[in-house]
Amino acid sequence: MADELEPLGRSSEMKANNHVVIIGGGPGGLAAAKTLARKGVSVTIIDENPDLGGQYYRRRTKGTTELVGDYRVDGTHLISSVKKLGCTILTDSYVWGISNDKRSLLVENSLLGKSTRVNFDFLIVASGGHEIQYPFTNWQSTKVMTPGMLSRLVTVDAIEPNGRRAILVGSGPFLLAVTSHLIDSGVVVDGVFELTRPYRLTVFSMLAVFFPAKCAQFLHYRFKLFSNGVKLTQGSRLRSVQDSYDGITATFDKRSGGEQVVVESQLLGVGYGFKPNSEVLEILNVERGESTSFGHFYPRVDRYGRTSQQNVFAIGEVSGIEGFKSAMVGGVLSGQRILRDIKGVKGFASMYVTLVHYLRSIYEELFAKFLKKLYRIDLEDFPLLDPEVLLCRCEGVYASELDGVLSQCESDMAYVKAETRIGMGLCQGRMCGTALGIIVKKKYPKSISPGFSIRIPFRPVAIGSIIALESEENRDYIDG
Amino acid sequence: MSLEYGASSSEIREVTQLVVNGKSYDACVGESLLGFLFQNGISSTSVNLVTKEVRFAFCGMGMCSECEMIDENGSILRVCQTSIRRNMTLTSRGI
Repeated sequence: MADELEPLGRSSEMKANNHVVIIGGGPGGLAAAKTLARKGVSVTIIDENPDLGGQYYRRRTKGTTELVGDYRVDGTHLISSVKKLGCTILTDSYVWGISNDKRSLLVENSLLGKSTRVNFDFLIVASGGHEIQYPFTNWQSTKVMTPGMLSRLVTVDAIEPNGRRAILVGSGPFLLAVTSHLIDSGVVVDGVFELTRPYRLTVFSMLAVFFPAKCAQFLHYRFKLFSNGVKLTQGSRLRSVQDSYDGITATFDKRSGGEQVVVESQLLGVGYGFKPNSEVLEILNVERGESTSFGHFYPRVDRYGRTSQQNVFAIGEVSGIEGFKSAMVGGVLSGQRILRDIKGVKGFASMYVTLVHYLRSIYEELFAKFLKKLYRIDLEDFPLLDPEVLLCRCEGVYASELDGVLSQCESDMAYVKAETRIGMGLCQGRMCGTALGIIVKKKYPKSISPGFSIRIPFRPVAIGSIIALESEENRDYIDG
Repeated sequence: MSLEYGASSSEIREVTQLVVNGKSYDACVGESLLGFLFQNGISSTSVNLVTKEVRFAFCGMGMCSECEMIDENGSILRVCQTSIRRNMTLTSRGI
């Protein structure tokens, strides 16, 4: 299999051949690949999952499909059309670094434990996002997971409900979507606990006027919750979870009053929206867009996804959390833009496609802005952590270990990391990084929202892969 | 280079022995490993080396590494990204 990868590397003497590399085979990446490959452009898609589809179009395994049928058939069609168009597809492969000349990616195949370089002339970063966490007592329980994981268990993995019960905690419209999946699959939802207070009559009226289609979707979810007796609680924050014989007991603070709410269930899904997987963009020194309250990195992009770096595009969640439809629109637009750059494609059909998607992109962005205001989380919404709360899951660092370090760090996350090992584990701060940023920001309100700085390798990589690459003639791929 | 699920369509319902931490289960070849473990109440994919707590898959998308297990060849695999192969033997990482 390693031999198959070799031809991808284009030696530096060769003339540019307009090869497009897409990081992420989700809805955005697939839409871009389809747009480009159908016009004969050479495309490589890199995806860390076993199959294309990303999270939204995650494939059922072959065995599960045979047993229970396909899931999200439109995704199946999109993936098979991309495969038929002859794109080079590297699955089970993740990008962990970039060469110094910023023209090739260092990609590890996680099954083989081997790395290869993938050269690009155009790069589309469609690497998606992951769920934001904020720790609470015993969040390391085996019965606590992300809403995304709960969702894939009942949809992609098609588990039997077997009378299971779950509660959903966090923030954002995704909680409602997951609740809907759980209800459909037969899992009993014991409650949905939204941190903010977005569900008000005024909001629904505004939605109805400006975004009627989206309003219908909201009302559909709301009605589904109501008709299944699922209670939606707003403004409640999760304090702790205790394991019980066959489930969990979750304790919530009421945000306004002092009284606590205790809920029993079996599983708990928790997530506070999404953080973009922005490592590649940060390493490429792409210019930052507007700053966000959590200090997450969003690139400054135009409507086509073009960043400040020439020939580097960012689409989908990594360029702004706007959902899969917006990602697909962005994929088409970035594809059209690259076609125009390399082939000079103008033509009526192409202009029409671009115009339609351009308008759709504006609509999706307006709606995303509306949602961002609606589900706005303030730093005060998150409590200070009790000493016994595990902060870094990987390295087993408790909140108590921040004492002293926090007052000396002067808002420098690298200092906290070096002193405590927070963020040094296998997930590289993906689960706890936002939380630590919030804690540091609470301590230093005037600081620019901090985050972990990105260093190569930004994903765990087999040491043999690094040695193998280092023995190549270019030894300069790691900074410094 | 898509994943080989280890089963052609004619053998789809082929049942295999799956051994998890010394206990044997009947499983379907090509089925989602995460789904199987969850369904069968196996909630220990790894043991944290520092806290010694049992952990289970958390993110379900290959990011958190809490679902890493060791297979019969000694390779680390992430349960959430794996289909069941024939005669798999899995051990929790960190045991």
